[in-house]
Amino acid sequence: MPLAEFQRAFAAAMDDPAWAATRLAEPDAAATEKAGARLTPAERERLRRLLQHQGMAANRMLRRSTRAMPLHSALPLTFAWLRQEATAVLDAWARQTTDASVQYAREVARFAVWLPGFLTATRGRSHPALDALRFEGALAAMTEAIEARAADPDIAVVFAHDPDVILAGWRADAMALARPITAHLRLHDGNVVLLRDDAT
Amino acid sequence: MASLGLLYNGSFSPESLSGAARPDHVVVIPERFWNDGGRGTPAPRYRHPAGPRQVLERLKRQFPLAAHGLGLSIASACFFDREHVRELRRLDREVGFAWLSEHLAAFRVDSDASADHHAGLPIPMPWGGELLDLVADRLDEAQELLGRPLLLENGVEFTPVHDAELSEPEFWCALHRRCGARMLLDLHNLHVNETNLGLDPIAWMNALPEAAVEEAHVAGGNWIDGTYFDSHSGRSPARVHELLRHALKRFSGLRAVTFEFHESYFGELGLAGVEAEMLTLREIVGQTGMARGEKLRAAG
Repeated sequence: MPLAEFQRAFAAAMDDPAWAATRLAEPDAAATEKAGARLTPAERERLRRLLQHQGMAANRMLRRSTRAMPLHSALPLTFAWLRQEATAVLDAWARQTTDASVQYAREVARFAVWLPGFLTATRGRSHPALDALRFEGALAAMTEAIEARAADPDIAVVFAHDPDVILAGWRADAMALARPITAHLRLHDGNVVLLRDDAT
Repeated sequence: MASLGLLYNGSFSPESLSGAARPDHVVVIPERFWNDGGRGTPAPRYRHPAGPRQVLERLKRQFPLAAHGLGLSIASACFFDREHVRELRRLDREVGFAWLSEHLAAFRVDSDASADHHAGLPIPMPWGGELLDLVADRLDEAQELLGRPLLLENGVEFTPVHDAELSEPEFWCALHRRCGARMLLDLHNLHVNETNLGLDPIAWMNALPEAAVEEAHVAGGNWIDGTYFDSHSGRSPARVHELLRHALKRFSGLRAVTFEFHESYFGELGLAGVEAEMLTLREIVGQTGMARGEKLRAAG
């Protein structure tokens, strides 16, 4: 169906702006190779004009926001610790994972799997955002356990930095501990508490 | 008089609004109440976490609820997600929504990478015969599956299609004639298109059939890099209130007005901001409702 090919081609152009920008210089080829599309000449021209439209800047901003929003909402502490690096992280995420999902929960779960590999490869193993990510993952698991009425839920979290520092939010001078420590999310009098194994 | 409502976004409890600011109805996003693994996921594709369902039960005890879906992508030509419609039907049977709505939009495609890829934005719509055939057939099938009408909402455009066969209002008229499509008229989306593209929202509304519109949405937006966005960032601008006054007079079937804002802006808006917007809307709905009643009495 021609409409389907046009929609696939437009989505492909949004996924890869660099490709779209390069191909704009070659109007006759602009629409086809990326989506493997069988576009009619009219649809090829339609796509070419759309990609040149001044509103494309807004489209790109909207797409970026759509992909970032579920992550920011679900992982506020992680993004607090990413701070100025968040933009670069989100750019890399968008480049490396073009199979985006409309479902927030699925996007967040995939991001939580992807981020440690990216940060370890680019910033080293002990980025404080990874502690925040593990903590927020544990918090989500605790919420599920509570909703499922699990008896005495106990969710372990490993911290490479002082948990008190991580939970307080970003600071420039966060130093990694000599050895990681483990803490546990538990229920105490109906409240979720974090208990450090090294607490005295 | 039209019912005045609020889109539930989890940032605060609608029960905390009182008096004239208290909503007559609450609109919920059905996708908040299930986790969808996506097309092609091994069964079970849908999971139902307990927490959100408890919220739904609480809201249901307090307000008439309507469902406003985000995820169907009814105009995606690659596929029609019937499982999504069935999941909506299942929730509707359980909750008994006052009405159901979705977006007239395409943002999901299949691709080499995924059977269910989110483009991240609504794909520009080539208003015309091919799209009309597709949407009319899909809407008929969705309504058959649901056993009731599904309102469709107009969207925002930043890059209109240059070679569209029809204007957007012509498309909506054709869809209404073809399958009786009923509309959720998003007035802030019209305002966004007015601001960025120079569209005339009054002429746009006047081109629609009088009986086609059943619900109106109002919201606020913001400017980023010279473009006005439908970000649901706060109270509705005065222009949207003007458009609402016109819509209430123009559309005889308009039975509900709903204020939407995004949860991430609640900190700026605050409960006082929500309350102020609801009171303004209440006044507009009340005035126009009285005007319509007076007109009817005069006609009688």
